[in-house]
Amino acid sequence: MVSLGRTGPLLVRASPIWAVSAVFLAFAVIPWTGEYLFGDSSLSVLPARLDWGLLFAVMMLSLSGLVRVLADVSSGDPAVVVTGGRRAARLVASGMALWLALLPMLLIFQTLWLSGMVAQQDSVLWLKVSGLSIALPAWGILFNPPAALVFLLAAMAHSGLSPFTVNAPEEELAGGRIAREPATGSASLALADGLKSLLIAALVSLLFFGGWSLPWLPQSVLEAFLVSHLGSGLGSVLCLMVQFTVFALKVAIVLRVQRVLARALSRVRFEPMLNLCWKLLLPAALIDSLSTALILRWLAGNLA
Amino acid sequence: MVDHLGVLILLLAVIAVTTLWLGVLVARPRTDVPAGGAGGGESKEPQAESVARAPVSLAFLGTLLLFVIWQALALLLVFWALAFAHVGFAVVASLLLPVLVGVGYALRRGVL
Repeated sequence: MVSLGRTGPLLVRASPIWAVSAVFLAFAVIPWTGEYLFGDSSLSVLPARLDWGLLFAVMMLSLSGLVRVLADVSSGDPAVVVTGGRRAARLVASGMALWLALLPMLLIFQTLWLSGMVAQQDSVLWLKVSGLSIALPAWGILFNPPAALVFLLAAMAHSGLSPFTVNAPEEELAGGRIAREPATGSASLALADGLKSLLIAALVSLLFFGGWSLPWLPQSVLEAFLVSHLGSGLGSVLCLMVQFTVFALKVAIVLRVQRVLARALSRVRFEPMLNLCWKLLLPAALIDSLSTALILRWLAGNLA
Repeated sequence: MVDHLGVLILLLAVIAVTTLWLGVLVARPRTDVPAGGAGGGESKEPQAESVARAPVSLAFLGTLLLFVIWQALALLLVFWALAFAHVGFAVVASLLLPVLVGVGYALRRGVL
């Protein structure tokens, strides 16, 4: 047994607050609206503008799970250490699929800046089907639907959200989260789970559903219309409120999808969950990445 | 391609070392499980208890750490994808294809 001395209990006690802090930090890079001009200054609901925001958000999501592994491993109880090992296996299996599910979207957007990704989706895509022109919102899901499904499933498995709560019964066998943690720790972990669910919904909305952009109505058109009718200040404020509401609605819909998945599926056992990650999501994400790269190369060759 | 040769060499070196280390750890015969396996009606439950409560070795934790390192290596693929417009399909495929072939081989051998 590895003895960590006094560090072990400290890690166990600190892990809930680390877990919730990591997810809170991830929200700092989530852009809730676009950027609006008020005279000489601009305003956007984005706490921290980070060019590698997507990387930071997903890393914080992983870190939130990793601190729980660290706490389990350093707990000193062999049964809990085994739970930590299984938690680590879940994190790595789903983490690989999660990172690889991002690759196709990175190949398409060529940026890690979340606002930049939404800006690229804030337009209309014209398709010609048998002489008929169809206008579609240029959302990421239209370019790569499999990536959206793999990302959502991998992110839910990575965060240990229902139905991927494989470690919950083990915690119950080892005394249960409430029995092992003080009330504040247990509440922090519950809060971290809720925040992870919200973070995943926000990331899915930003990557695949155009974030705050209204379908068929780009921000530039909407803002110009409102500013011309209501004036610069009021028009921009109204545009900000409309787009914030649109983003909140999209996040709520993705959250609802997560809830439906959680209720429709029974708790996935440990081995089937690892099989899902290693044998289905990971190869699917790899094939999707390669096929996306091939299609982009073909498009670049044909459009040049 | 030449600009990214250093990253490729570093990546290959890290993967080679971690794979060798993991191979040594996995190939080492297990001494903590009794030779009888899971058979034997009466001794079944105490045996399962003893395996579950067996002390965790440093090698086990090291193996866990290796998988975390592998996950970190997946991060490198992110930067290759971001450089797609500059480096082209061949360079991105040179990293993705071996991984895909490796995953396919592992699936075929039933080790995943």
